[in-house]
Amino acid sequence: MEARAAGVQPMPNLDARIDELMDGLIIMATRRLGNQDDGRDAAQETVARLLERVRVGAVASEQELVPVAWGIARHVIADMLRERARPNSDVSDVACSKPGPLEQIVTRDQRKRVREALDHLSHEDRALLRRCFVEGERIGQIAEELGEPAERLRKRKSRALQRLAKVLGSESGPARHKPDTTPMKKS
Amino acid sequence: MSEHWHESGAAAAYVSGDMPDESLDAFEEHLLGCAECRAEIVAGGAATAELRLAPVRVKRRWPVARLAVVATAAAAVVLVAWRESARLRLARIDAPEFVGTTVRASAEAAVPMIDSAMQAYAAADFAAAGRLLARAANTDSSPAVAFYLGVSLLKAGQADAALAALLRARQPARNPYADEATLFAAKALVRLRQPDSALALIRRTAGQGALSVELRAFADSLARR
Repeated sequence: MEARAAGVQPMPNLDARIDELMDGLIIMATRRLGNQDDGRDAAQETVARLLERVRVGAVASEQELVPVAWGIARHVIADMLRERARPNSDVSDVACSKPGPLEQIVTRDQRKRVREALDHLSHEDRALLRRCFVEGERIGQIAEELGEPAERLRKRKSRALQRLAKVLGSESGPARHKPDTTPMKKS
Repeated sequence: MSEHWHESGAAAAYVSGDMPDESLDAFEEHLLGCAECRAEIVAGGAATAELRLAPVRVKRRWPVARLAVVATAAAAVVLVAWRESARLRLARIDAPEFVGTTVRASAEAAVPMIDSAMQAYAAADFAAAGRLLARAANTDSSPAVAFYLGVSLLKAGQADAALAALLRARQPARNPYADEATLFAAKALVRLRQPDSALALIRRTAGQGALSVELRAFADSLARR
Protein backbone atom coordinates (compact mmCIF):
# COMPACT_ATOMS: atom_id res chain seq x y z
CA MET A 1 0.00 0.00 0.00
CA GLU A 2 1.41 3.40 -0.87
CA ALA A 3 0.75 6.81 0.73
CA ARG A 4 -1.36 8.91 -1.54
CA ALA A 5 -1.67 12.27 0.17
CA ALA A 6 0.86 14.99 -0.55
CA GLY A 7 3.46 15.61 2.16
CA VAL A 8 3.36 12.03 3.39
CA GLN A 9 6.63 10.11 3.37
CA PRO A 10 6.71 6.83 1.50
CA MET A 11 6.68 3.75 3.72
CA PRO A 12 8.63 1.01 1.96
CA ASN A 13 8.61 -1.22 5.02
CA LEU A 14 4.96 -0.78 5.80
CA ASP A 15 4.06 -4.47 5.53
CA ALA A 16 6.85 -5.50 7.89
CA ARG A 17 6.00 -2.72 10.36
CA ILE A 18 2.34 -3.67 10.36
CA ASP A 19 3.28 -7.30 10.96
CA GLU A 20 5.41 -6.28 13.91
CA LEU A 21 2.68 -4.01 15.24
CA MET A 22 0.21 -6.87 15.06
CA ASP A 23 2.32 -8.88 17.54
CA GLY A 24 2.32 -6.07 20.06
CA LEU A 25 -1.36 -5.29 19.54
CA ILE A 26 -2.34 -8.91 20.15
CA ILE A 27 -0.40 -8.91 23.43
CA MET A 28 -1.81 -5.57 24.59
CA ALA A 29 -5.40 -6.27 23.59
CA THR A 30 -5.46 -9.85 24.90
CA ARG A 31 -4.18 -8.75 28.27
CA ARG A 32 -6.65 -5.90 28.56
CA LEU A 33 -9.66 -7.76 27.22
CA GLY A 34 -8.89 -10.99 29.05
CA ASN A 35 -9.10 -13.53 26.23
CA GLN A 36 -7.35 -14.29 22.98
CA ASP A 37 -10.41 -14.14 20.71
CA ASP A 38 -11.31 -10.60 21.71
CA GLY A 39 -7.62 -9.69 21.71
CA ARG A 40 -7.20 -10.79 18.11
CA ASP A 41 -10.40 -9.09 17.03
CA ALA A 42 -9.25 -5.85 18.62
CA ALA A 43 -5.79 -6.13 17.03
CA GLN A 44 -7.26 -6.75 13.59
CA GLU A 45 -9.72 -3.87 13.95
CA THR A 46 -6.87 -1.60 15.03
CA VAL A 47 -4.75 -2.55 12.04
CA ALA A 48 -7.69 -2.04 9.69
CA ARG A 49 -8.29 1.45 11.04
CA LEU A 50 -4.56 2.21 10.96
CA LEU A 51 -4.28 1.18 7.32
CA GLU A 52 -7.25 3.36 6.48
CA ARG A 53 -5.49 6.32 8.08
CA VAL A 54 -2.35 5.52 6.13
CA ARG A 55 -4.42 5.35 2.95
CA VAL A 56 -5.89 8.80 3.42
CA GLY A 57 -2.53 10.27 4.38
CA ALA A 58 -3.27 10.82 8.06
CA VAL A 59 -0.03 9.07 9.08
CA ALA A 60 2.94 11.09 7.88
CA SER A 61 5.75 8.56 8.32
CA GLU A 62 6.64 5.10 9.59
CA GLN A 63 7.78 6.69 12.85
CA GLU A 64 4.19 7.70 13.55
CA LEU A 65 2.81 4.20 13.09
CA VAL A 66 3.43 3.11 16.68
CA PRO A 67 1.86 6.04 18.53
CA VAL A 68 -1.07 6.19 16.09
CA ALA A 69 -1.65 2.42 16.39
CA TRP A 70 -1.51 2.62 20.15
CA GLY A 71 -4.04 5.45 20.22
CA ILE A 72 -6.41 3.55 17.94
CA ALA A 73 -5.99 0.36 19.99
CA ARG A 74 -6.97 2.13 23.19
CA HIS A 75 -10.19 3.31 21.64
CA VAL A 76 -10.98 -0.05 20.06
CA ILE A 77 -10.40 -1.81 23.38
CA ALA A 78 -12.46 0.76 25.26
CA ASP A 79 -15.30 0.31 22.75
CA MET A 80 -15.22 -3.45 23.15
CA LEU A 81 -15.26 -3.17 26.92
CA ARG A 82 -18.23 -0.80 26.77
CA GLU A 83 -20.07 -3.29 24.58
CA ARG A 84 -19.64 -5.79 27.37
CA ALA A 85 -21.64 -3.39 29.59
CA ARG A 86 -18.69 -2.77 31.87
CA PRO A 87 -18.61 0.59 33.75
CA ASN A 88 -17.51 3.32 31.36
CA SER A 89 -14.03 4.23 32.45
CA ASP A 90 -10.65 5.24 31.11
CA VAL A 91 -8.84 2.39 29.47
CA SER A 92 -6.06 2.55 32.02
CA ASP A 93 -8.55 1.88 34.80
CA VAL A 94 -9.53 -1.41 33.32
CA ALA A 95 -5.99 -2.60 32.73
CA CYS A 96 -6.07 -6.24 33.48
CA SER A 97 -4.04 -7.12 36.53
CA LYS A 98 -4.13 -10.87 35.90
CA PRO A 99 -1.46 -12.39 33.64
CA GLY A 100 -3.74 -15.28 32.66
CA PRO A 101 -4.67 -14.08 29.17
CA LEU A 102 -1.01 -14.01 28.12
CA GLU A 103 -0.92 -17.79 28.43
CA GLN A 104 -3.54 -18.04 25.71
CA ILE A 105 -1.45 -16.45 22.99
CA VAL A 106 1.55 -18.77 23.05
CA THR A 107 1.97 -21.64 20.64
CA ARG A 108 2.55 -25.24 21.62
CA ASP A 109 6.07 -25.03 20.19
CA GLN A 110 6.86 -21.94 22.26
CA ARG A 111 5.63 -23.72 25.39
CA LYS A 112 7.79 -26.71 24.61
CA ARG A 113 10.89 -24.56 24.15
CA VAL A 114 10.22 -22.61 27.32
CA ARG A 115 9.53 -25.80 29.26
CA GLU A 116 12.97 -27.11 28.32
CA ALA A 117 14.56 -23.79 29.19
CA LEU A 118 12.82 -23.74 32.58
CA ASP A 119 14.61 -26.98 33.41
CA HIS A 120 17.90 -25.16 33.02
CA LEU A 121 16.99 -22.37 35.41
CA SER A 122 18.01 -22.69 39.03
CA HIS A 123 15.42 -23.97 41.47
CA GLU A 124 15.29 -20.53 43.09
CA ASP A 125 14.65 -18.77 39.78
CA ARG A 126 11.91 -21.23 38.82
CA ALA A 127 10.30 -20.83 42.20
CA LEU A 128 10.49 -17.04 41.94
CA LEU A 129 8.87 -17.03 38.50
CA ARG A 130 6.16 -19.38 39.71
CA ARG A 131 5.35 -17.26 42.73
CA CYS A 132 5.18 -14.12 40.59
CA PHE A 133 3.51 -15.43 37.45
CA VAL A 134 1.28 -18.23 38.73
CA GLU A 135 0.56 -17.38 42.33
CA GLY A 136 0.44 -13.61 41.75
CA GLU A 137 2.64 -12.70 44.68
CA ARG A 138 4.24 -9.27 44.71
CA ILE A 139 8.03 -8.91 44.64
CA GLY A 140 7.96 -6.83 47.82
CA GLN A 141 6.10 -9.56 49.68
CA ILE A 142 8.49 -12.29 48.49
CA ALA A 143 11.51 -10.14 49.27
CA GLU A 144 10.31 -9.62 52.83
CA GLU A 145 9.78 -13.32 53.35
CA LEU A 146 13.16 -14.29 51.92
CA GLY A 147 15.00 -11.45 53.62
CA GLU A 148 16.42 -10.16 50.33
CA PRO A 149 16.31 -6.69 48.77
CA ALA A 150 13.32 -6.29 46.45
CA GLU A 151 15.46 -4.76 43.71
CA ARG A 152 17.71 -7.82 43.64
CA LEU A 153 14.72 -10.12 43.25
CA ARG A 154 13.27 -7.87 40.56
CA LYS A 155 16.51 -8.14 38.56
CA ARG A 156 16.68 -11.89 39.09
CA LYS A 157 13.14 -12.27 37.81
CA SER A 158 13.90 -10.10 34.79
CA ARG A 159 17.14 -11.96 33.94
CA ALA A 160 15.38 -15.32 34.22
CA LEU A 161 12.68 -14.13 31.85
CA GLN A 162 15.29 -12.81 29.41
CA ARG A 163 16.94 -16.25 29.39
CA LEU A 164 13.60 -17.85 28.55
CA ALA A 165 12.93 -15.28 25.83
CA LYS A 166 16.26 -16.12 24.14
CA VAL A 167 15.19 -19.70 23.42
CA LEU A 168 12.25 -18.48 21.38
CA GLY A 169 14.62 -16.98 18.83
CA SER A 170 12.83 -15.80 15.71
CA GLU A 171 9.61 -17.55 16.76
CA SER A 172 8.90 -15.10 19.54
CA GLY A 173 5.66 -13.56 18.31
CA PRO A 174 2.27 -14.37 19.83
CA ALA A 175 0.14 -16.98 18.07
CA ARG A 176 -1.77 -15.37 15.23
CA HIS A 177 -4.39 -18.10 15.17
CA LYS A 178 -5.99 -19.81 18.12
CA PRO A 179 -3.36 -22.28 19.35
CA ASP A 180 -4.18 -25.96 19.63
CA THR A 181 -5.10 -26.46 23.26
CA THR A 182 -6.07 -30.14 23.21
CA PRO A 183 -4.47 -31.99 26.13
CA MET A 184 -1.10 -33.40 25.20
CA LYS A 185 -0.88 -37.17 25.37
CA LYS A 186 1.25 -38.58 28.13
CA SER A 187 4.67 -39.51 26.64
CA MET B 1 13.44 5.54 27.01
CA SER B 2 13.79 1.97 25.75
CA GLU B 3 16.76 1.42 28.03
CA HIS B 4 14.65 2.52 30.96
CA TRP B 5 12.07 -0.18 30.24
CA HIS B 6 14.74 -2.84 29.73
CA GLU B 7 16.79 -1.96 32.78
CA SER B 8 13.78 -1.83 35.06
CA GLY B 9 12.58 -5.32 34.05
CA ALA B 10 9.32 -3.86 32.76
CA ALA B 11 8.37 -6.89 30.66
CA ALA B 12 8.63 -9.20 33.67
CA ALA B 13 6.50 -6.80 35.71
CA TYR B 14 3.94 -6.66 32.90
CA VAL B 15 3.64 -10.43 32.80
CA SER B 16 3.21 -10.77 36.54
CA GLY B 17 0.84 -7.83 36.87
CA ASP B 18 3.30 -5.86 39.00
CA MET B 19 3.43 -2.85 36.72
CA PRO B 20 1.84 0.28 38.18
CA ASP B 21 -1.24 1.43 36.28
CA GLU B 22 0.35 4.81 35.55
CA SER B 23 3.14 3.07 33.60
CA LEU B 24 0.95 0.65 31.65
CA ASP B 25 -0.06 3.00 28.85
CA ALA B 26 3.48 4.15 28.17
CA PHE B 27 4.88 0.62 28.33
CA GLU B 28 2.27 -0.77 25.96
CA GLU B 29 3.08 1.95 23.47
CA HIS B 30 6.75 0.97 23.81
CA LEU B 31 5.77 -2.67 23.36
CA LEU B 32 4.31 -2.04 19.92
CA GLY B 33 7.78 -1.14 18.69
CA CYS B 34 10.04 -3.39 20.77
CA ALA B 35 10.60 -6.99 19.67
CA GLU B 36 12.77 -7.70 22.72
CA CYS B 37 10.02 -6.85 25.19
CA ARG B 38 7.43 -8.71 23.15
CA ALA B 39 9.62 -11.83 23.17
CA GLU B 40 9.94 -11.61 26.96
CA ILE B 41 6.20 -11.28 27.36
CA VAL B 42 5.48 -14.26 25.12
CA ALA B 43 8.12 -16.24 27.04
CA GLY B 44 6.43 -15.12 30.24
CA GLY B 45 3.07 -16.37 29.00
CA ALA B 46 4.58 -19.73 28.07
CA ALA B 47 6.41 -19.98 31.39
CA THR B 48 3.23 -19.19 33.32
CA ALA B 49 1.37 -21.94 31.48
CA GLU B 50 4.15 -24.45 32.14
CA LEU B 51 4.78 -23.49 35.76
CA ARG B 52 1.06 -23.74 36.50
CA LEU B 53 1.24 -27.45 35.65
CA ALA B 54 4.59 -28.19 37.28
CA PRO B 55 4.56 -27.16 40.94
CA VAL B 56 7.91 -26.24 42.42
CA ARG B 57 8.66 -26.52 46.11
CA VAL B 58 9.96 -23.22 47.44
CA LYS B 59 12.89 -23.53 49.80
CA ARG B 60 11.79 -21.23 52.57
CA ARG B 61 14.34 -20.11 55.12
CA TRP B 62 13.45 -21.04 58.70
CA PRO B 63 14.79 -19.12 61.69
CA VAL B 64 17.00 -21.27 63.95
CA ALA B 65 14.67 -21.05 66.98
CA ARG B 66 11.77 -22.34 64.93
CA LEU B 67 13.95 -25.20 63.72
CA ALA B 68 14.59 -26.34 67.32
CA VAL B 69 10.87 -26.40 68.09
CA VAL B 70 10.19 -28.29 64.90
CA ALA B 71 12.89 -30.85 65.70
CA THR B 72 11.36 -31.61 69.11
CA ALA B 73 7.90 -31.94 67.67
CA ALA B 74 9.25 -34.14 64.92
CA ALA B 75 10.53 -36.72 67.39
CA ALA B 76 7.04 -37.10 68.86
CA VAL B 77 5.52 -37.31 65.42
CA VAL B 78 7.85 -40.16 64.45
CA LEU B 79 6.36 -42.40 67.15
CA VAL B 80 2.81 -41.73 66.04
CA ALA B 81 3.78 -42.13 62.40
CA TRP B 82 5.23 -45.59 63.04
CA ARG B 83 1.87 -46.75 64.31
CA GLU B 84 0.09 -45.15 61.38
CA SER B 85 2.39 -46.71 58.79
CA ALA B 86 0.55 -50.03 58.73
CA ARG B 87 -2.77 -48.28 58.14
CA LEU B 88 -1.35 -46.10 55.38
CA ARG B 89 0.36 -48.98 53.59
CA LEU B 90 -3.02 -50.63 53.41
CA ALA B 91 -4.59 -47.49 51.92
CA ARG B 92 -1.75 -46.62 49.58
CA ILE B 93 -3.06 -44.42 46.74
CA ASP B 94 -1.58 -44.94 43.29
CA ALA B 95 -3.42 -42.55 41.00
CA PRO B 96 -4.53 -44.34 37.83
CA GLU B 97 -2.60 -43.04 34.84
CA PHE B 98 -4.39 -40.58 32.57
CA VAL B 99 -3.27 -41.34 29.04
CA GLY B 100 -4.55 -38.25 27.32
CA THR B 101 -7.82 -39.42 25.85
CA THR B 102 -10.63 -36.99 26.39
CA VAL B 103 -12.55 -37.26 29.64
CA ARG B 104 -16.02 -37.05 28.18
CA ALA B 105 -17.98 -34.22 29.72
CA SER B 106 -21.74 -34.23 29.95
CA ALA B 107 -21.83 -30.43 29.97
CA GLU B 108 -20.35 -28.32 27.15
CA ALA B 109 -19.45 -25.51 29.54
CA ALA B 110 -17.19 -27.76 31.60
CA VAL B 111 -15.00 -28.97 28.70
CA PRO B 112 -12.21 -26.36 28.83
CA MET B 113 -11.99 -26.64 32.61
CA ILE B 114 -11.77 -30.41 32.42
CA ASP B 115 -9.02 -30.16 29.81
CA SER B 116 -6.98 -27.95 32.15
CA ALA B 117 -7.75 -30.21 35.08
CA MET B 118 -6.58 -33.35 33.31
CA GLN B 119 -3.38 -31.63 32.24
CA ALA B 120 -2.73 -30.85 35.90
CA TYR B 121 -3.64 -34.45 36.83
CA ALA B 122 -1.25 -35.84 34.23
CA ALA B 123 1.47 -33.60 35.66
CA ALA B 124 0.68 -34.95 39.16
CA ASP B 125 -0.54 -31.56 40.39
CA PHE B 126 -3.46 -33.16 42.20
CA ALA B 127 -4.29 -30.07 44.24
CA ALA B 128 -4.82 -28.03 41.08
CA ALA B 129 -6.64 -30.90 39.36
CA GLY B 130 -8.92 -31.25 42.36
CA ARG B 131 -9.78 -27.52 42.39
CA LEU B 132 -10.57 -27.45 38.67
CA LEU B 133 -12.54 -30.69 38.69
CA ALA B 134 -14.55 -29.54 41.71
CA ARG B 135 -15.62 -26.49 39.69
CA ALA B 136 -16.34 -28.61 36.62
CA ALA B 137 -18.46 -30.94 38.74
CA ASN B 138 -20.85 -28.05 39.43
CA THR B 139 -22.07 -28.34 35.85
CA ASP B 140 -20.96 -31.86 34.95
CA SER B 141 -22.30 -34.84 36.85
CA SER B 142 -20.57 -37.55 34.80
CA PRO B 143 -18.93 -40.46 36.65
CA ALA B 144 -15.65 -39.66 34.88
CA VAL B 145 -15.39 -36.19 36.37
CA ALA B 146 -16.47 -37.46 39.80
CA PHE B 147 -13.90 -40.28 39.63
CA TYR B 148 -10.89 -38.15 38.76
CA LEU B 149 -12.04 -35.53 41.24
CA GLY B 150 -12.17 -38.17 43.94
CA VAL B 151 -8.72 -39.52 43.12
CA SER B 152 -7.23 -36.02 42.95
CA LEU B 153 -8.72 -35.10 46.32
CA LEU B 154 -7.50 -38.34 47.84
CA LYS B 155 -4.00 -37.75 46.53
CA ALA B 156 -4.16 -34.20 47.88
CA GLY B 157 -4.99 -35.52 51.34
CA GLN B 158 -8.70 -34.65 51.43
CA ALA B 159 -10.15 -38.09 52.12
CA ASP B 160 -13.53 -36.76 53.31
CA ALA B 161 -14.30 -34.82 50.14
CA ALA B 162 -12.73 -37.58 48.05
CA LEU B 163 -15.10 -40.16 49.51
CA ALA B 164 -18.16 -38.14 48.52
CA ALA B 165 -16.93 -37.75 44.94
CA LEU B 166 -15.93 -41.41 44.60
CA LEU B 167 -19.30 -42.60 45.87
CA ARG B 168 -20.97 -40.42 43.21
CA ALA B 169 -18.67 -41.96 40.60
CA ARG B 170 -20.12 -45.40 41.41
CA GLN B 171 -23.44 -44.34 39.93
CA PRO B 172 -24.98 -45.47 37.72
CA ALA B 173 -24.03 -49.01 38.63
CA ARG B 174 -21.69 -50.76 36.17
CA ASN B 175 -20.50 -47.50 34.58
CA PRO B 176 -16.86 -47.81 33.42
CA TYR B 177 -15.55 -46.06 36.54
CA ALA B 178 -17.70 -47.85 39.12
CA ASP B 179 -15.22 -50.58 40.10
CA GLU B 180 -12.22 -48.31 40.44
CA ALA B 181 -14.36 -45.73 42.24
CA THR B 182 -15.35 -48.40 44.76
CA LEU B 183 -11.71 -49.34 45.31
CA PHE B 184 -10.63 -45.76 45.90
CA ALA B 185 -13.67 -45.06 48.06
CA ALA B 186 -12.68 -48.01 50.21
CA LYS B 187 -9.16 -46.63 50.47
CA ALA B 188 -10.58 -43.26 51.44
CA LEU B 189 -12.52 -44.95 54.24
CA VAL B 190 -9.34 -46.62 55.45
CA ARG B 191 -7.63 -43.23 55.41
CA LEU B 192 -10.52 -41.97 57.52
CA ARG B 193 -9.91 -44.79 60.01
CA GLN B 194 -13.06 -46.65 59.02
CA PRO B 195 -11.72 -49.99 57.73
CA ASP B 196 -14.91 -51.84 58.70
CA SER B 197 -16.95 -49.46 56.56
CA ALA B 198 -14.49 -50.00 53.71
CA LEU B 199 -14.95 -53.75 53.91
CA ALA B 200 -18.73 -53.35 54.12
CA LEU B 201 -18.70 -51.17 50.99
CA ILE B 202 -16.78 -53.77 49.01
CA ARG B 203 -19.07 -56.56 50.22
CA ARG B 204 -22.14 -54.56 49.17
CA THR B 205 -20.54 -54.13 45.74
CA ALA B 206 -19.90 -57.88 45.59
CA GLY B 207 -23.65 -58.38 46.01
CA GLN B 208 -24.22 -56.47 42.76
CA GLY B 209 -21.89 -58.58 40.62
CA ALA B 210 -18.39 -60.04 40.37
CA LEU B 211 -15.60 -58.07 42.00
CA SER B 212 -12.50 -56.98 40.14
CA VAL B 213 -9.19 -58.61 41.08
CA GLU B 214 -8.04 -55.41 42.77
CA LEU B 215 -11.21 -55.11 44.85
CA ARG B 216 -11.00 -58.73 45.97
CA ALA B 217 -7.33 -58.31 46.90
CA PHE B 218 -8.07 -55.16 48.87
CA ALA B 219 -10.98 -56.80 50.65
CA ASP B 220 -8.72 -59.72 51.59
CA SER B 221 -6.13 -57.29 53.01
CA LEU B 222 -8.81 -55.56 55.05
CA ALA B 223 -10.14 -58.85 56.37
CA ARG B 224 -6.68 -60.02 57.40
CA ARG B 225 -5.61 -56.88 59.33
